[in-house]
Amino acid sequence: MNSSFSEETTVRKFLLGTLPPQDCEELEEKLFANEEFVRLIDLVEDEIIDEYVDGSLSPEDRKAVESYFLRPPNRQQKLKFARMLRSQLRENAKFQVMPARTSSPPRRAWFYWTAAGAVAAMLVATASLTIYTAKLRRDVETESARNRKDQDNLAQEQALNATLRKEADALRSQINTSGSAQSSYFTLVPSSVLAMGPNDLPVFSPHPGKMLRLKIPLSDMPRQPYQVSLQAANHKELWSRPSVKPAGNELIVPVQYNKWQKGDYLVVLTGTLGNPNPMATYYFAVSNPCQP
Amino acid sequence: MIPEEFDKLLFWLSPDRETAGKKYEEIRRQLIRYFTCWGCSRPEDLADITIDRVVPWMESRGWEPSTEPIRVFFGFARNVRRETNRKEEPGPIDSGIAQPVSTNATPEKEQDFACLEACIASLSATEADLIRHYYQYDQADKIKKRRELAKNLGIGMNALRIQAWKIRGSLRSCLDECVAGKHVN
Repeated sequence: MNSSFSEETTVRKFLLGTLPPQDCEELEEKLFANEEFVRLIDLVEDEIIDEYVDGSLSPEDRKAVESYFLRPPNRQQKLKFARMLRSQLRENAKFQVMPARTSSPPRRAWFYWTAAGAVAAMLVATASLTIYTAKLRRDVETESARNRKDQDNLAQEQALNATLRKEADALRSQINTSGSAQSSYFTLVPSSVLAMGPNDLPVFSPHPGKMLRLKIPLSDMPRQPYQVSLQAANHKELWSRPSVKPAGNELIVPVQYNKWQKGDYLVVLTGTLGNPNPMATYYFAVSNPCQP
Repeated sequence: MIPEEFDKLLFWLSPDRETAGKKYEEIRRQLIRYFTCWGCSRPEDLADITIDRVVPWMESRGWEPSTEPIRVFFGFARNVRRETNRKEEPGPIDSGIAQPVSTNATPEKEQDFACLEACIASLSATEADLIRHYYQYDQADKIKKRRELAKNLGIGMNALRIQAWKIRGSLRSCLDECVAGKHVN
């Protein structure tokens, strides 16, 4: 899509209803004759909506959007979509950031040991300095200044340690919550990993108002789209989705099923690429639904 | 438009019924886009009014063949739009539209979000990463971060905008299909 800045500016004014009528009529013919131009219109239209949603439009443009641009229902639908997309992507990003930050204990341990070493070193330095000062009584002012500096460093290290401890506690608490206000994540375990006992099944507690999002590890299975089928213990299908693509080493599947009852359930993955046979089964149990 | 007129219109577009049907849908889509670009509040109705006006005019001309039927529709669409713009003065839209979506969960919203999440999950890892980073920031930060993103991807800002637009378009189509029940049982 090769468009000049001035062409985009003209299109933008046209869409906002601020282009002089004679210029509009020249422009409108292209709507029926030039596919490239139509794509540019669609791109600029989307960007006006994005800027409206994130609040970066000028007051004049904002007024034009609200009094003119948003009159057609399909633009109102685009606005609704833009808001949903933004909200969903940001929620996903929050969820994805958590494991990355918390799954690095070696780094944290390294930092603690480094900090502890630094503290010990500072203490030794401070003690040596004190003995040295007492013995020699020389250059007292210089040594005192060094001592103060070392103590400042020590205080900074201790403050950093405390901050890191707080951050780790906060992250631990986030992980335990495992989900947002709108949804809860539940990780399934491959049946091959489960011991054969009813008490070994992972247990999911449904919560009214929260949608279940299943995280299904693919382990050594092919990274390909799968049909995901939620079934009751008697293999009756309760819900399914025809093609879910993997995100990394797992499938993340929002489950649109809310008639949970206490009991055992299974999730069956079937390949969608010419293999209609079930490729993996995951079992889990549902406890009594929480009361709102 | 009575069925016989509609049949004549289709035949005028193409003697092959299936091709004619596709041409008709394409013309109607272009008309809707035309009225949308002009900020009309009822683009679909206006597209149908335009088609209804073309039919008797073509009838009066004995359905004279045309290599570019869209030009005929465009001429009528322009008149319909001028009449409509005279009636439709700019004014504030429904205040509900301008307000951000309420965060209160309803089954419909849950379904919409579930569909959208499934659609995002169906993107390739590269596309998902791109769109996630593209929408991570607002206002001043947005421009700076998008420049960084384009640099990291080794593409220009314009190419980044176009890629984001394409991904957005595919997500919107996926969401529409999913919400309409085509992908969700």
